[in-house]
Amino acid sequence: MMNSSGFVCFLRRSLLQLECRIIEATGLDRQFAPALAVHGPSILPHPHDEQEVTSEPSFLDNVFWMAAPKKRRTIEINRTRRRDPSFMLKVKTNIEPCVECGHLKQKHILCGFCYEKIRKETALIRGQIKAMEGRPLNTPAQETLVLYDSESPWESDKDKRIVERNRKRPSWFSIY
Amino acid sequence: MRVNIQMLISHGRVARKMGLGPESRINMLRNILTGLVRHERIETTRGRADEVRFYAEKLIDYAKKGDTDEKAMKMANFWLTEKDLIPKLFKVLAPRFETQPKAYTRMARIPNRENLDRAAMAVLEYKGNPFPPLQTAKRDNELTLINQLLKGYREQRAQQAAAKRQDVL
Repeated sequence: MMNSSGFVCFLRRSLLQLECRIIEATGLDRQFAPALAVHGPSILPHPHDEQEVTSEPSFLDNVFWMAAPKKRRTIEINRTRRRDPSFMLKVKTNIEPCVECGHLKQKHILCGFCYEKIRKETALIRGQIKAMEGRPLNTPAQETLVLYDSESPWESDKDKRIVERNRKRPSWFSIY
Repeated sequence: MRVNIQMLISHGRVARKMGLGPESRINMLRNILTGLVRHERIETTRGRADEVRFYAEKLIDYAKKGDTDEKAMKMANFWLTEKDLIPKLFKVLAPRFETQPKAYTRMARIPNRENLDRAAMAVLEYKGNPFPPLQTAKRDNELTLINQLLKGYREQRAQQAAAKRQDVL
C-alpha cells in the first residue's frame, strides 16, 4: 500500500521533468516579443559607426594589386641569367708584343714602355731648354736642334738654337 | 621655345661638349693650343686632343698668311694667351709648314692615365718638332728564323756572283 503511492508520485514527477526537458529542447518556451518596448526616434547614435571614417585608407589596404614572385627561382635559372655573355668580361684579341721592346701593347695604342722612354728624354730636353731660356715666357723665334755628345751642327742648322745633352745618342732617336 | 623629346636625345650629333659650356670649351681649347705651340708636343685626353687638332691646323693656316695680315694677327692674339709665342708662330711654325698643304699635327693614342680615372690619353704634336720621334719606321726583326735564312741566302748569292766575276776576269 505505501509502495504503490510512492511509486505513483515518482512516475508523476519524472513525467513532468521529461515534459519540461522536451519543451526546452524544441524551443517552444521562448517568446519572440521584446521584454521592454520604448517610444522614441528610429535614428539613434550608434556607438559602432564612429570608428570607420577616422583612419585614412592606408597603403597596405590595397596591397593585393602589387607584383610578387610566385615561385622561387631555381639555381639553374639563376645561373643561366648570371652567366649570360652580355655580362661576362669580353676577351680582347687586339693585344700583341711590341716589336722594339717585347712588352705587350694594344694594336692601335703606342707601346707604354717605349713611350715612357721617349717621355723621360723629352722631359730632360725641356729641362735644358728651360735652363737656356732663364725666365718663363722667353721663347725665341728660332727652331731647336738637340745634339748629343761629340755631335756638331750641319751647315743648314746654323739658324737653330742648339740644345746640348750630355750623353750618347740613344738608338731610338736617330738624326734623320 | 618648344621643349620636346628631340632636344634630349642626341642621335647623330657630332659636336663635343667640353667643360661648363661653349665659352668654357673655347677657353679650355685655347689653353691647350697655347701649350701645344709652346712645347710642340703635349699629352691630353683623347677627346681634347681631337678637338684641338682642328684649331691647331687652322691657326697654322692663318699664320701662313703672314704677320702683316690684320686677321691673322687678331687670330693669333686671341688664341695664344702667352704673347711671346706669337713671333714663334709666325717665324718658326709657319715657314716650317710652307710646303705642306694640310696635315701639320700628329695624334697618337697612349695607354690610359695612371690615376684613378684611367682616362684615355693621346699625344698631340706638331710635325718637325726637335724631340725623339714617337714611332720609328717599322723594320722587321732581323733575328727571326725566316729573316736569318733569307739573309744567309742573300749572302750565298752575293758570294756566287763575286766568284763568277772572278772567273770572267
